[in-house]
Amino acid sequence: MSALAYIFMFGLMGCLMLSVVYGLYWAVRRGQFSNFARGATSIFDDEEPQGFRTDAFPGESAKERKTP
Amino acid sequence: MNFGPLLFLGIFITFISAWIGLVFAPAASLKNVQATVVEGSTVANPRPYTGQELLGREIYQHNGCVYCHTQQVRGGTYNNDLERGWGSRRSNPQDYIYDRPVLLGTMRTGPDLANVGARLTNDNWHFTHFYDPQLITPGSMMAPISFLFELRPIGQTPAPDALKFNYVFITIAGDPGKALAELKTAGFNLVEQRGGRYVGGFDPAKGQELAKIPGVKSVEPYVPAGHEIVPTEDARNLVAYVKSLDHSYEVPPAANYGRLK
Amino acid sequence: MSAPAPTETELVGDRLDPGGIQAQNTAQMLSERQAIDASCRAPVLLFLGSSVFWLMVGTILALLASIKLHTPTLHSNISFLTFGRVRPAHLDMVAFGWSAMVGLGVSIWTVCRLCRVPLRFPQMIVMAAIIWNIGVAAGLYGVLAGQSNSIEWIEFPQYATFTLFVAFAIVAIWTIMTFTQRREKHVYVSLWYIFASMFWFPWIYATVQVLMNSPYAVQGVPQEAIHWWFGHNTLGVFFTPMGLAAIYYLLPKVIGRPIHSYALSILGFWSLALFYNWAGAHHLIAGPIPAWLITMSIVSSVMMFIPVTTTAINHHLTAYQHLDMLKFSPVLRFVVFGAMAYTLVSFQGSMMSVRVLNEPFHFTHHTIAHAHLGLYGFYTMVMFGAVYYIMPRLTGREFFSAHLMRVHFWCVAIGIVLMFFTLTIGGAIQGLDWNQAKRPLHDLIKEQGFISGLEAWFDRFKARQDQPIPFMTVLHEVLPYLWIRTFSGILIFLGHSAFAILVFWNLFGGGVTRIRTMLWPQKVSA
Repeated sequence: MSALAYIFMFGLMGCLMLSVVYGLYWAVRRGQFSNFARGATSIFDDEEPQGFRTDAFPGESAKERKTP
Repeated sequence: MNFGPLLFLGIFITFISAWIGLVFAPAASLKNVQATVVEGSTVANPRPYTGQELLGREIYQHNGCVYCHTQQVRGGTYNNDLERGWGSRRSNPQDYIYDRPVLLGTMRTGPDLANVGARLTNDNWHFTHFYDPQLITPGSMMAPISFLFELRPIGQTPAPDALKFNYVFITIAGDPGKALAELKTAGFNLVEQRGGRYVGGFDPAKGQELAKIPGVKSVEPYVPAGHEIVPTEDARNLVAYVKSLDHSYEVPPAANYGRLK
Repeated sequence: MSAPAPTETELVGDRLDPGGIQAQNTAQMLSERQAIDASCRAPVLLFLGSSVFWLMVGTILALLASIKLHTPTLHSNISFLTFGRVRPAHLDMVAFGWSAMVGLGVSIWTVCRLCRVPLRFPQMIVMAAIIWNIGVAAGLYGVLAGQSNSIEWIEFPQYATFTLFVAFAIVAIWTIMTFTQRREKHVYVSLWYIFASMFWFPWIYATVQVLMNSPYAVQGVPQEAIHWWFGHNTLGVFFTPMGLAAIYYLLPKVIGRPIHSYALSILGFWSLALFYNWAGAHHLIAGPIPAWLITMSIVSSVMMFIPVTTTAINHHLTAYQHLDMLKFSPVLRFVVFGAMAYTLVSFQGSMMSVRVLNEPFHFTHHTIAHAHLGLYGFYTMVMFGAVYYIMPRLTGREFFSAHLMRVHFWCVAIGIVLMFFTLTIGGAIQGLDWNQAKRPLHDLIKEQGFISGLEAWFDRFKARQDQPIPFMTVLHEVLPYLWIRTFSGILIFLGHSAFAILVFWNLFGGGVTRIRTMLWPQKVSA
């Protein structure tokens, strides 16, 4: 393996390592790990709230809605 | 989650360690592996490939031989590689120092080729086998690579490297069992049945002798009359490469890995 | 099939408090969501449509390769249809044509949804999709024309590889740009996975290209350590994260409940990052590679139990209480199937890395079964679900036939299950007969019947024999399994044809324009 390849690989490795360490630092600072329960519900909103399903076979949603 | 940052930093560093472990460490530790000369010999093994062998190696790569053939004799506890006669010792990092890329392979639809050059040395065998593997090994699952050969009318004089195909097709009318028994006595060496015809080894020049046997309807030479099958440059290079695959040389005792006990 | 368009009162009837405050909020959110989906329309549909095209190409190549494995002389005089070219072409088409493109398309849409911003700079994504298509087409040409380098997973000639790299860089840069402009503060677990794959893939791809396929290539067998570090990580840190990201978003979204344990999902992410990366060298067990490397890889392969268990708990406990929905939701069917296959394939993979199983099973069809369960049973099935979820929201049209969707699901589900079990059993017999058994299983069964034949087969195991069973005998023993595999391939091909018809029909204007299932969620009755 030539010296150039070593330098390339170590450079790439260093950059990526720095970026992931920064990503971790950022995540902790912003409180990404502080409230898991709330984070899990971040995909729901008023329009598609919890307790509502969002998929059905085409043309069958009306039929399904009548199911008690 | 107070210890969280520490924990995650640890995981990150371990993640990078995989790169160091699987990429950097083997490259660094095996970069000085060299060809060796064992005691009592003057030849360094392995030897570099010749130009023709390297060209053949490209044909090997381009046509995907690696998807059915490995090039490694394993030395583990639970496999039979050594007992199959695929090598006298386990494959060794030294065997691959001239390989770019290394073609260890992942599948054995065909046998291992690490030492095929030591087992099969006949050019005509290889050419015939590449052209029509089922002639040599009936029931073989190898795809013929006949596109590396040229079937052409014989010109003024036959090409010097035209393949010697001593095979004929025989069509039998009536009971094949009896006719085949007589054909066998006459020297016809049956290989297999192909679409109603029987193919087997026999000198096509004397083919008409077989036609006299009762029940034999017709005898046709494998290569149509007035034609010849000539290997292309690519086929010759490929055979040169396959014949060069021979790692049966001796290595220093420290590098001679046998089976893991 | 063509139900009348819903009236305004019908739609309002679905709401919790018609006319109230929530309804006003809903109206505003609706426009935001519509804006996101509308902004994704051209770029994401370009990715999804192209991926389905390459899927069909890959399927036809797969069928051809499968037939050639039991009928090797078929079309063997045509150079570009020889097995050694068709097989890598199949792998590259389904990996870089289908899997990567559909994964990127789904990920781009998911990033927009999770960041709550419309897709900015759509030209970048359109450009990336076009360049990626050029790269895949060039690669397909290169492999079939005989320019493949026979390094599994990176057979593409360098011009195609470079093209793919450029396209990928554009998508990665776009992802970061979108992320910095996001409106949702919390970074959902799917985003973690998507970002991880965006960073990891260029890293492993660049490493393997430089160290294996360039003038700076390392010498000798370290190449293979690098090769399988890459090969395994393509699955582990590129496709798997994208598939898991889609599951973590779609599963709760379709059901309407958050995932079972969010903390576990984060733990699963980090332990996957840790252990998957080390697992690659188990492809070289008993090969000419330092033993400590292989042992290290086996250990971390077995440690994969941790991320897989956490992920399995999450997926299955989330889905478990809503299994009734499988009847009504096509997306959920595919996603739950994929999640189950992920659990199965990961545990199987951990087991297969142990030496006593790996040595006999390696180089047989057992490994092929495992690979298909991973990339097909898990990843591709999840992506089918994702396409069914996303496409109607982008085109504004429902798929035109629920029947065809069912045909698709049952064909591919039966096909992959049949293929997996056939090849797993066939490969196990192949491996054990080659390496350990004294007599071929099929001979023993013929002589002694099924049960006692099987018993005799297991009885006569021994570490090794001086006279192994001939290679050809075992090869022919596997042939029936290969025929069944071709049959399962035909089933999968039929399923894919139904899928392609649905997708392209929808893409080019067919199907009913409806908004109910797309934009008006159904209340969970429980």
